Parts: sequence; C-alpha cells; structure tokens
Amino acid sequence: MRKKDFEVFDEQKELVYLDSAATSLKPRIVAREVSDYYNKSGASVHRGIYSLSVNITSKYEDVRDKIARLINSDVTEVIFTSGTTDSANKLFMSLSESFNGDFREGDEVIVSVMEHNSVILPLRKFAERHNLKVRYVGINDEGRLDINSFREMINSKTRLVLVTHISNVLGVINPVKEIARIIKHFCDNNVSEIGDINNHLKTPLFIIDGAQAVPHMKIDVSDIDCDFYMFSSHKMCGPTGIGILYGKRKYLRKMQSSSIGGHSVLDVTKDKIVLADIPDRFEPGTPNISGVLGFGRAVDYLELISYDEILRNDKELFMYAISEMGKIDGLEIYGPKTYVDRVGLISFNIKGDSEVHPHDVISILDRDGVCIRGGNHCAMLLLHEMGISSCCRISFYLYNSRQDVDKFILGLKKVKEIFGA
Amino acid sequence: MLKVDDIYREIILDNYKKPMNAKKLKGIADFEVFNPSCGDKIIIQTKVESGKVVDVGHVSGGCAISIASMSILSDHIIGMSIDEISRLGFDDIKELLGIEIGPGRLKCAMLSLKAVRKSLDIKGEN
Repeated sequence: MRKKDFEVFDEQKELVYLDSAATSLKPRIVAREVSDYYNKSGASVHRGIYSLSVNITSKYEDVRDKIARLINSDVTEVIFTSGTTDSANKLFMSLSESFNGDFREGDEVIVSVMEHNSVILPLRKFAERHNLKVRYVGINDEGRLDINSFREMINSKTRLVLVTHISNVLGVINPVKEIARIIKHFCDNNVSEIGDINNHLKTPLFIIDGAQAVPHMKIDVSDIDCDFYMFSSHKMCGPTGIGILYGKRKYLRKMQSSSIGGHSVLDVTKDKIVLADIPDRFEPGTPNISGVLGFGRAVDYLELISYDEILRNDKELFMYAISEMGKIDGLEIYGPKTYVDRVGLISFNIKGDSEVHPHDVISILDRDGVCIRGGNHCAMLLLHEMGISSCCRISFYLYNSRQDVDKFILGLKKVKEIFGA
Repeated sequence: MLKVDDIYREIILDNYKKPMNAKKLKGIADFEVFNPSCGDKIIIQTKVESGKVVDVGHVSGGCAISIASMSILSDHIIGMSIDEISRLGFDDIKELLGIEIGPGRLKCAMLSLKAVRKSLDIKGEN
C-alpha cells in the first residue's frame, strides 16, 4: 500500500511484514527527522537560551501540542516516557508515592485477563505493595471482554480499574466508554460508600493501555473519560524509546514523579525541594529529543494517510485473510472472526491432524520473507485462560496489501505440506 | 512438490514425528524442563548403571527442533558416562542435528541437553 514510504522495502522488495502489533516499520520521514536532529542540531531542550537550543525546544514542545491535539487532551497532561511499559511503571510508582493513604489493605483493583505483561506486572507490584486484592474480568466464548462480569465485580472497595483498549492477542476492541460509564454509574449511586471526603481519590481510577489502539484509531481521552492512558511511538511508525502517559490534570497536579532530577524542580535548597508544575515534574533529565521529534513526524504521517484509510485497509486485509485462512484445514483461529469491534490482528495455531508448533511455522515462513510472530505475546494470563501455551499471530498495518496475505497463505500451505498436516 | 527448507530436513522431521526413546521408564525419577516463552516441554528419565547411561525415556511436547533434538540426543547418550555427557555443548548438538541453528532457535535445540543435565544433576553452564 504505502511501501514506497518505507526504505526497508527498497532493498527487501519481497518482505512481507506481518508483526506490526510488536512494532511497526518506520517511514523514511521519521528516520530523516531523527538523523536531522543529530546532524543539523544536537542541542538540548529547555536549557539553552541561544537560538540552537531555543529552536529545538520549540520543535520539541510542538510535538507535545501535536500529541495533545491527537488525543484531545490539555498539553500539560501529556507526559513523554520511554514507552508504554515505562508509562505503566512510572504511573504505578507515582500512585504509590502520591496517594498512599487511598490504597488500603483489602481494597480491590479490577483488571482484564487480556492485559499485556508490561502493564499487568507494574500493577501487580503496586497491588502487592498496598496489599490490594486483584480481581480479573474474563472473556466470553467469542474472546470478548465479559462486561457483565465487570458490572458485577465493581464495588465500594474498588480503587482502580485497568484495561487494555485493544488486545494484542485477540485483536478485540474493549468497550472502554462503557466501562467508564459503569464506573461513574456505580459511584453516582454509592456516593457515601466511596472513600471519605478527605481522600484524594473519590472514585476508582480508570487506566487504559492504548498501545495497540492509537496506531489504528482516533482516540479521544476526554470523550472516553479515562483518568490515565498510555501508548508507544514505535507501534505507530515512530521511533523506539518514546511513549506517552496521559493523565487528568486534577490527578497529575497532586502526584509526585517516581524519578526526579534536573528540569523537574523549580528550586532546591538544603531544606526543601520545590517541584516544577506538570508535565515538567514528570520529565527529569535530558529527554530522548530525537525520539520525540521523530514521533511528531510519525503523527504527521499518520494524519496525512488518515485513520479512515488505515482502518479501511485494515478491514479489507482482515476480511481477506480470515476468508483465506478459513479454507485451510486444521487452523484454530482465536478471537472474533468478524470485523466488529476488532482490528486486523489474527492469532491462530495449526492443529488438526498434525499440530505444528508456532516456532516451526515462523521458521518456515521466514525463509520466504514472511515475518509473523509466535509465542505467548507477553499475555501469559490470557493464554492460560485460553488453555494454550503459545500461538502464532499476524497483524496488519498501513503498508500491508492483499499480496502480503497471499504470500502468508502460501507459506501456511507450505508448512502443512512439510509437516504432512 | 515444494522444496523442503534446510532446517526441516528429513532427519528433523523423522525425529519429530517418531522420536526415539519416547517412552516412560518404570521406577526411575523424572525431571522436567520448560521453555516458558513458547511452551516447549520435556519430561525426562535417565537410567544410570555404574556411572553410565543405559536407557533414556522422555515425553516431549513442543516444536520440531526441540523434539528432534531430544530424540537424537537420547539415542546418542546411551552408553556414555556422566562425565562424557557433562562435556557436551552447543557444538555437539549442532553436529548431532546436522543443521545450522540460528539464535532464534537456540533455546529449542538446547532444551534436550538442559533436560539431560538436570536428570543427571550436572550443574553449570553448557
């Protein structure tokens, strides 16, 4: 589709990259922005008042504006991190430090079984620190979140809800607006039971992992009405090493960062430390400047293509792939087979008469330049729930085409022939 | 007929489909090794007499490389002393399998040796 925008295809013309859920390929303009920073500037941000530094600072903060507009937040609510994993770790450490009294032994946190290790593990450590009970919302037969179970689970002890926006294994889009509504509805009807007025947190915090969502869809954090939202640059055509933590001002202003250093303070004396305002407070030290600038260019690129086009292509490839995969015996496909509240990410195993392990599928496809993923996808809880130890996964993005699906299908047939399946 | 890739030469596929020594030994302790990233699992039993392995039994589930490796290694170590087995390493596994093993499949190929070493209580890196 847009392969010419990606230099990797210049030399590897036959490359079929079907692992964008892990990381997307990066277009020329993003790579150029990163190298331009090093070749044409190299100055730091927020520090010098000479032109070289002022120019870069301005470009850097323009990216923050861009991200804020992208997700419909205030610019001070956008914190740069090194990725979704970092966002989650920073968030939970900060919640521990800042709202310690609000998370009491026996309180509960609700998460889904679909969560990626990068967010569930920081949450689990957080729950251990505060002796909180972790409750899991499961999936139904179709592989969708069991929203009724969530409705029944929320109670006056619930302090926090964490959910992934899109599952990196099942490809399902979770009903985050509905979840926010359920939380609000519960709080409206149970005011006297939710904490006391001295608490910072009168309602459960609603945290969303948007790592798989922002690459595919226009996200409006204000419309969703979540309290925190996290995503990564590298899954949406941007550089690695950069991510976003969005948080509602009303919380961020009361929070300390888990790390502190230069730029995150206004004043330091022997007796006291005066923290900077948000977002500076959460961004100590010299940041990943080239990463931020590259990320800004990636956002430009996605907006040029448009989310409508990204989704149109995604749907077309999903429908084609599901149809072709349906013609192959012994394929076990996980998650819904219709493009309803779903993205073009398909996990499967070769079962039937002859099972073929994901590693073997991947190795054979790799010989023909077809890159797919296999293993547990850092979603071990989900795989345990599904009763499998590993699976293959293909995921589409804006540079994939029907020819890519054809080569993938040919590869699957080759696997079956080699293994006599 | 599609061309068979190098890594999946007959030796690998045959040993994957019909692994040698895929059996249970009576009265011998079993040991389990596991690749959590992919689910490759081997349950192994080794029968030792006078410091030499005289029989091997294993139940293996996982990818073709890990099962083929266990099959071929299990046959290879019968008759070997524990001392000789403790000196086996990656190069030996590569030679036994007769194929190039890239870094992506290293753990798969070496799981068998990890299983053998565990069952014989051979410590240290291989």
